[in-house]
Amino acid sequence: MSYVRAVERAAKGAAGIILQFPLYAGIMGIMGATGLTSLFATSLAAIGTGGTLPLTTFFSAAVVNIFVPSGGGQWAIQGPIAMHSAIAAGIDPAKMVMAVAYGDQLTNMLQPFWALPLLAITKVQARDIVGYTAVAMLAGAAWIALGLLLF
Amino acid sequence: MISRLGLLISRAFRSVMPDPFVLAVVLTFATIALALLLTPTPFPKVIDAWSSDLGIWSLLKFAMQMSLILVTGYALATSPPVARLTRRLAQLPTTGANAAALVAVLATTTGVLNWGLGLIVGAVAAREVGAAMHRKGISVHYPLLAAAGYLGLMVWHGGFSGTAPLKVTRAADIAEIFGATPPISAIPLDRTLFSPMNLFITGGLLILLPLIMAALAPRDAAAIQRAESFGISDNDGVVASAEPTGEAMIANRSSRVFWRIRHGSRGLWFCSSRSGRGATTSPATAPPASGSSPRTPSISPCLASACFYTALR
Repeated sequence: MSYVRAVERAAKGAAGIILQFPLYAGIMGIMGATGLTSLFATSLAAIGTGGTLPLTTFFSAAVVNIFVPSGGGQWAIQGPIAMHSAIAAGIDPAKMVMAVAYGDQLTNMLQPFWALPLLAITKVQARDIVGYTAVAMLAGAAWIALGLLLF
Repeated sequence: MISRLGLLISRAFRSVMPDPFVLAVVLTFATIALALLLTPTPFPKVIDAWSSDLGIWSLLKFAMQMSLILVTGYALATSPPVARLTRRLAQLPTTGANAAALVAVLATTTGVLNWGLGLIVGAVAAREVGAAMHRKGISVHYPLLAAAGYLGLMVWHGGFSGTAPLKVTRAADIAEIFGATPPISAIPLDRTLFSPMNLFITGGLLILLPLIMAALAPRDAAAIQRAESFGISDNDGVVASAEPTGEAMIANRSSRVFWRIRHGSRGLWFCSSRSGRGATTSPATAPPASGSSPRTPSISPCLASACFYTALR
């Protein structure tokens, strides 16, 4: 059956997912259970005071995303920290929500986790595209930082 | 100048970027080391955390969903309606620069709608535009197209499937963060996704990123790596005529099966303003569908896959 053949051909590209998702899940497990994510998030957010707190939260979320690429997993750990520090510093919590969101998406451009299906479909290697996505990331970081400071 | 800078940066990364698997292994050991150095956790506890159900096995369901994204995305890409659409779209670009910009526009706009959709549309668009440019005899730097196809993942969290802004719209989730008497109420989307700040940031990214991709297109012919050198050519491209009907027809049919699976519980994902919620919760707890029925057979595979992706994460 040609559908089965199509799946067989596409399934070859799933090797990266099969091999690497458990590893990232393990990293997430360690980060959560040992309090490493909280440590990252709080110490990086502590550098910021008042007006710059959304900015430092944005960058700390970008760092945490390298280790915890899953947006839902990252929010579960970092979200409460960001919200509590927003209340403590008198910052609009809505802005902090978006600061975490922007940080989470930014370093996807360095982290090949989400690119695995794309790499399989386009047949390129991570190292073929990461230079270009890194340029996009730097420009995007500047733009997002500008937005966080302006509003 | 930007294009030369892009080539330089790309070459630098090419020489240092490890294989993604190596990166995952290195990150694992780095995390273990950091946990031992920076937290008072003893080594056996760290290993317990790694091997527990909250560790390596916690993404089993999600890993299968990602595999299905890949497999059904491939099937979607080979279906006739998508092939026709991409063939028509792929006719548009006349240079390497606007080919990259087109792929970036497709990946980011769909990425704002839904991250999974953006990922698969970006990948398919990169591949198709690469094959179409090859057909037209225009040299295009194919790795840049693939990079442009990945940009949806840089705008998704400011879009309709964004986990964080969707999570805080529910009082229950706010209470989970702050306890029984939260100092704030649920945060509606008009203060997050539809705030002037996000319209500025995400709207700006939608314009900025395609322009950057266009500027990065290498002008030096010697630097251009065409799609065919990655095994993407007319015969292999997903719109190729080599195996025109069989696989494509079946793919179409399989997408309809997915349509039926999703249809009962979800309906048209983009008709529901709350549809992105599915991205943050399990499909079982997703909100009821706003409801609609498949329209024409030609668009149903796209809708089916869209519905399928919405249920993920």
